[in-house]
Amino acid sequence: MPLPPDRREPVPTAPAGAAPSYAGMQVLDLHVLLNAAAGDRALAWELMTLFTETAPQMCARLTTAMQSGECAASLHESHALAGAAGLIGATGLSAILKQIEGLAFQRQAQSFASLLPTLSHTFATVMAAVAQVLQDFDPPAGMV
Amino acid sequence: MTDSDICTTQQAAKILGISVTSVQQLVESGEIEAWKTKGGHRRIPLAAVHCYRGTPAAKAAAIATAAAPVSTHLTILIVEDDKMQRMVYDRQIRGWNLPATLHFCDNGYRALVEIATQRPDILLTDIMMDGIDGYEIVTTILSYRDLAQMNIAILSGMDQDEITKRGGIPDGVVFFAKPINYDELRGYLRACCAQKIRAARLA
Repeated sequence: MPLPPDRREPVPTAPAGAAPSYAGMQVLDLHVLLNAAAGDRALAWELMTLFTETAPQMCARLTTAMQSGECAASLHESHALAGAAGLIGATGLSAILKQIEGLAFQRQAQSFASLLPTLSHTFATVMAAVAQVLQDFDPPAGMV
Repeated sequence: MTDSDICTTQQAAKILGISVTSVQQLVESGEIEAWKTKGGHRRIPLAAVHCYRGTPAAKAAAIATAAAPVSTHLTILIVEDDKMQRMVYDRQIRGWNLPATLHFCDNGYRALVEIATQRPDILLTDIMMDGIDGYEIVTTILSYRDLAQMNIAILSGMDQDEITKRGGIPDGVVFFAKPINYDELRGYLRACCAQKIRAARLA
């Protein structure tokens, strides 16, 4: 079963190239996820699986919107992805997305470009971390 | 006539086995003699209550009241476009064993239809959604007097600047910031349920 209650350390830390303000944040805080799932490990597993299925498309749409300087679309996509990232405990990614959301709200599209590499790098790290957690442990009984 | 010959609407309701509202209606329609104090409270002669009690209409009303159970089961409508968040709400709130049934809508249009047809007791809504968003849902509800009893809470990850720019949180609406503190949300929902059940028993 994934997500043992004492599993505090194995989650990856932020990438070395990440923006300094996010460097100290955990890539994936599984306790946040378990808390959201009310301790239900099957649900936590399901949420992570759903994240891996939906987040890449969301991140792709956000990246396109940012590259095009579309503030409304960037606002919508960053808000949606931040919510999903926050739920699974991807606190660093969620913080970056909140920053993008704030910039989009203030219509500062010119600042998007500087955040795209950080977003891309952090998102990839989170996806790898989630995949690792899902791969390292057997799914809960009755699932898959 | 002394004080012991007079009763209040609540006492009359108890004697007749009907609701306070029903007594008020009987007084207003003139079926039970009464008057109002300077403060606007109804005072009813006990003789008038007992006189009415013997009528067939009173017996039928008492039987109907006894047969009609007080509704202590509430409905909570949750409007949230994110599937993961809906799954979390479902798991969390079901675990609290509230005397309530959960309904979910994944967009504002469906939510407005649900509100109009089902009249949920409590509404929990996200703000930022495609199409009709949470703000439009809330302002629509607030514009209808007959939906005034509905408890409304907004649950959103929007930051304070965005909320302020959109006019802030309307009076009488509760705000929960995401990530949700589920202890706070549980307390809010428990209080809403208790208040609704009390009101239903007194109605």
